[in-house]
Amino acid sequence: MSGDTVTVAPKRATPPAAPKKKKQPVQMQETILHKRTPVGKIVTWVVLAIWIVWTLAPLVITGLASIKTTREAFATPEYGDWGGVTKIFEFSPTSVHFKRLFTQEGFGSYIWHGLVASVGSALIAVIMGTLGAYGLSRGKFRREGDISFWIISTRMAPAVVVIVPLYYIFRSFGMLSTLPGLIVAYTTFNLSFSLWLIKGFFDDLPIEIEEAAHVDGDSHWAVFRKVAVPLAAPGIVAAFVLCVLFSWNDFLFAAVIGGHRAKTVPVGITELRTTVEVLWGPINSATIILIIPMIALGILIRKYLIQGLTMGAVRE
Amino acid sequence: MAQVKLEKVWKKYGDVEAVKNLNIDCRDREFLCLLGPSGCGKSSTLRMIAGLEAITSGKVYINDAVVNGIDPYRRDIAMVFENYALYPHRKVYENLAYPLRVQKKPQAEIDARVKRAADILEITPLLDRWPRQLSGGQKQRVAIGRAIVRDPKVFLLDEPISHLDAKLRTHMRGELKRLHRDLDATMIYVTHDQLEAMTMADRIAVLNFGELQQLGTPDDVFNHPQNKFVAGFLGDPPINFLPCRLHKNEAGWQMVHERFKLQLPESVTRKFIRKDLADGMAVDLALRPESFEVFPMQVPGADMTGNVYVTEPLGEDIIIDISIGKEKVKARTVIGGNWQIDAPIWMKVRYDRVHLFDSSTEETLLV
Repeated sequence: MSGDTVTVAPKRATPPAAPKKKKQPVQMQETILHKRTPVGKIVTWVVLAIWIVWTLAPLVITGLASIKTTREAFATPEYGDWGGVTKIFEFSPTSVHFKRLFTQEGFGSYIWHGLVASVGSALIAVIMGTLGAYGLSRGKFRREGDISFWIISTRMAPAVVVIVPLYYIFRSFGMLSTLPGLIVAYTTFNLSFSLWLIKGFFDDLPIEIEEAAHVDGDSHWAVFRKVAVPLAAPGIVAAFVLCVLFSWNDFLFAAVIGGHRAKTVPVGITELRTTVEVLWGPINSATIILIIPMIALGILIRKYLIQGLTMGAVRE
Repeated sequence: MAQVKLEKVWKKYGDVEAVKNLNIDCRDREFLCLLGPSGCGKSSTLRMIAGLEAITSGKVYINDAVVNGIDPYRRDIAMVFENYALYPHRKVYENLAYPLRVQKKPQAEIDARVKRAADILEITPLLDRWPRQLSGGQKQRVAIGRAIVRDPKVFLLDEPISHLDAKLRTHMRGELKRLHRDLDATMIYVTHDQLEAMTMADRIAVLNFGELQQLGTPDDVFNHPQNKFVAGFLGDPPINFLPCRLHKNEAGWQMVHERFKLQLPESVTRKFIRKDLADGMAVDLALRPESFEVFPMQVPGADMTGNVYVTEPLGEDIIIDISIGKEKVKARTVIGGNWQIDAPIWMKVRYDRVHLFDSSTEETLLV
């Protein structure tokens, strides 16, 4: 030990007052990944602007044409006549095409068929898919990987490949041209899709949470219902919406299996091109009808959809 | 409360034997630690007691009833998981209330019990928060709270504090020990941290490669290790092993190392368990860092000498790494003194703290 005298620093009575922090606006840290340059900003905006015009222009044209008379709709400016662009917006809105769809073309029932078939098949696909996904994700059985792959492989072949055999099968069961037939047809491809999407979610749930519920007194079924399903809800909702959209948009199955008595909107639209004329106005109106539920659903569950499509793939 | 007994328990994952012929008896209201390095089978053992893992062979008893094949939710146990496993879609209150809701308890009782658990763990202000809004220490408290709201037969804790920072871990060790006393409960606690086991347990079961190495009080396993593994696993810095040969001479037994000779006093040789010790047999002399006295100059009666390799001051104490020939040993002494690197250093062995192990079987030679 050294012989130095030990000095005890006097204890401070109060700690020095911390300098008051001014509330600063939340700023993104400038890091190597978030470096801001004016050129980058301009490029970003230009690319975004082009992208927005590219995606929205067809929608705007269709939307405008659906509430114009046919004459107005074809009154486009000459090539190079930029001043004439305003002509596109000179019209008095009319609902004549929409009225025609419902009074003469029977679109009311097409919409109904589409809704029943898509929501019905999405419900079946999601319920069965959730059960199957949980089983595949949690269960341990032989050739599990092969079974999983087989399920997703049913989605890999183009629908055209199976449509002819499916047609024969449905005919022998008397399910052609019926709504249940259409629901079953859609479920053939929705089920494997929803199962795979939802399985990714169950795979990402920490097993300990379910084990904790087990220890806390829940049976297997209760754990599934009260813990696993609520936690995978974003994935289940995303799967449901996507299944609805797949079926709602489908043309091939509706045309072949749905036939005349279970006709949906996409099939209805093709029939607006008659041998005599092409009903452009009603086609545009029907297109808007086809798009509206997609946009509405998309906005409604946007949060779930993004989470659903990213969370299944990215581990937290 | 309850006792837990494992009888000839085996766990195999395919060809891998995770737990081998385990016999452990956890007494009523005991704090039993399962201690071992990662992969020693301690977590598998706990999960078999919980019923989360099937038992390959053998029997697990809770209160004299065999629970093999009984689902976890029928075993009346509570478990705290390493990663807390809170229900992310329920607020803290509902996390705590969950086991009671499952039992369909009346709301008034749920309120009272949740409040009591929250009071004990000082998490009352957190009841209205979501798990994602909590810090690690708070999550851990909630996880413990969920276990104590109902009076389970046994508490199973799987490394509950190993993810906390060092300071909080030290604090929670004390809290958990106190909680065990206050609840008067049977607790089985899995850890790889010998300090946790030493400070908290009534008894420690040391496991390695799925086999029970020793079951005893912290004092037992620390001061009377049954084999080299137990001796080496407990203690920080770890115990020093010096390979020697045991030779018989007229004065009794002598330990011969290439750099020193130790005449074992009668106080040590009287503790030999075996009578068939062969002259010249290979043994490991095991000395804890506290079992030396070190001197910077030659002193009468010094047992061995070496050179200072490096020093590690710890505030109160200092750890001195000493090279003795090819071997290095660590000695702990109070801070002070002028220890120069590479300077010679003399050591006296405290014979009352000597351990000897048979080099071939690695079993202890002393009582």
